[in-house]
Amino acid sequence: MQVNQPIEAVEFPRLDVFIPELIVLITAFVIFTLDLILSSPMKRRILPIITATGYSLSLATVILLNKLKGDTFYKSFTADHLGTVVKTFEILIALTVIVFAQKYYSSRNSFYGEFYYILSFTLAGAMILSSSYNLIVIYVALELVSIGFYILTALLRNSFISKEGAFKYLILGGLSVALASYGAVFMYIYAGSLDLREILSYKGEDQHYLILGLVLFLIGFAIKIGAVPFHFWLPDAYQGAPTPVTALMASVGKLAFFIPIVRIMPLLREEFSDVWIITVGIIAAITMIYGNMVALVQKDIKRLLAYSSIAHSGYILAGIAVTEVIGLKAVVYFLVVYTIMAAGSFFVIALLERMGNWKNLLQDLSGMRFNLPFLALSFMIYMFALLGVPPTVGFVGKTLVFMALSFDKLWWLAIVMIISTGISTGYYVRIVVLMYMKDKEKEFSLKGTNPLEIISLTFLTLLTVGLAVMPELILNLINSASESLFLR
Amino acid sequence: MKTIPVEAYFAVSTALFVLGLLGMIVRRNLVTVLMSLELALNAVNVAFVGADYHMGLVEGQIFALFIIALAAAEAAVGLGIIIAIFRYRLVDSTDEITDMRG
Repeated sequence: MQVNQPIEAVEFPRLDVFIPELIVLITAFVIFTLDLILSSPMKRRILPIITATGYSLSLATVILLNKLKGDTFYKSFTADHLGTVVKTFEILIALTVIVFAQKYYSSRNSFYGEFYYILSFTLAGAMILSSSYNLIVIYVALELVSIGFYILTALLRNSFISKEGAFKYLILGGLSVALASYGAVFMYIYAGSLDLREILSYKGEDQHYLILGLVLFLIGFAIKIGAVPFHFWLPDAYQGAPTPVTALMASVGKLAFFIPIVRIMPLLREEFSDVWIITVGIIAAITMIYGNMVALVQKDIKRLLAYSSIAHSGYILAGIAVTEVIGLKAVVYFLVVYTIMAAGSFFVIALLERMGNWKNLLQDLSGMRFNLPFLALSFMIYMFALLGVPPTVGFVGKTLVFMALSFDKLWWLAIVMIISTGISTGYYVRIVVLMYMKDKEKEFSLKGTNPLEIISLTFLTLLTVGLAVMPELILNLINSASESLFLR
Repeated sequence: MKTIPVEAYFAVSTALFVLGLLGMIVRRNLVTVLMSLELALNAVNVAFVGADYHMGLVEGQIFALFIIALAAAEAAVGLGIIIAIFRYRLVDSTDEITDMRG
């Protein structure tokens, strides 16, 4: 935009592609207002229902309007198939978070009305982050998601570690945003534009600024997704946060933070692909190895799953290193199914944490099949999915990434992936052994489960198996999404 | 007339950014760490406005305005968390909030 350009009539933006985000934002503002005027017992009953209604409406519009494509708001917001796939899963997981949050917070005596509208703003931020190429919009949406997560992490009464995790997350998250926007400066001075498509297709004479900008941008996002040299905040934030929020961070957060990198990948020109493969490949390799090695020695279940989440960032980054359409397909599939596995496993822990004598230690799991057979079964399925055992989505995701790596002849990365999966067997199988082959040490009983919680958990477990047995349910959408990104 | 080259703006902003980064690593006081974070974000603003002046565009300044607004929001949340930590345990140093390890 030139400074002295005469301004013509402002064009009215296309709103039809923005309806799902708009609904979530309106929901957030409605809850914000109701939270101020309602009495406390009313809030407990009404706020979750309104939030869930808003999200369901938004989910319906995402699915109904899935054919719509195009830019709006002067190219700062782009609706496409990738956005549709990602948003469907983001809203779905957020809906289940509401179900599990209600009883969890009341068992911890920390019901806050704030939870519902900050959750909604976070979801809106994640949805906008999933469908934008403009650096300003990416920055604002990134901050919207991150600030929401800082607050949600700290919202737990009588828990010091939740504040500690929130502070560490805030400092590292702020640093990551600063690095990413510093990268944006260099991309801006290279191309004179803030649109990622224009920046990466611009052919300037001095490409140092572009490379510096891309590297800083990538480091910023690597902090957010917990890739290894920059992962220090992640286990603390995941352990400290209330468990439904941990589920949200591991699923919706990870999905949203990955999408800008996923969108950059098809836009890269040939001459950068070597640099990209080396940088992303090395980060992916050390992330996989380190995450799985450290998870082996953990004693706290939430912390163990946090390190497993780091390791999965590595698997997904390995797919991103392949700058071909097959890599993009594998990455998008793995990303969306990882949200189900991660959210489901943290939801099981959220249910278990409601029991009085539960300490979140690994020994507490021993003999779980006697006390809580249903939870033990679903937790076992999630563990097998995270490990990558055949009839689950984790297996299909890892196979797709492996096929992409072998297609691009990245054998070293494929071998690292196999070795680290082998290492991860150590802790996933140990959990299953504890639950199914050990005698019980303590008596646990889960009282007052909401039927909705059981239904949601069953649904997620069925998805974990179903999307692997019938991957064409989402693979067709993912194929068309990936191919349309590469056509540009 | 001799104008200031764009590299000069970048030198100032890099210096500010490194100062902020060092402050985050070296300093122990919680509020000082937060201030260092703000310094790093403001370094980005200097770079954006300098780049804009160099190229004669305005989009970078729009970005800088957004950074100012959102950095303030982040500082508000950060101060809130620091107050929550302080009310819970009366500590204000990063060495004393290390309950979680491993």
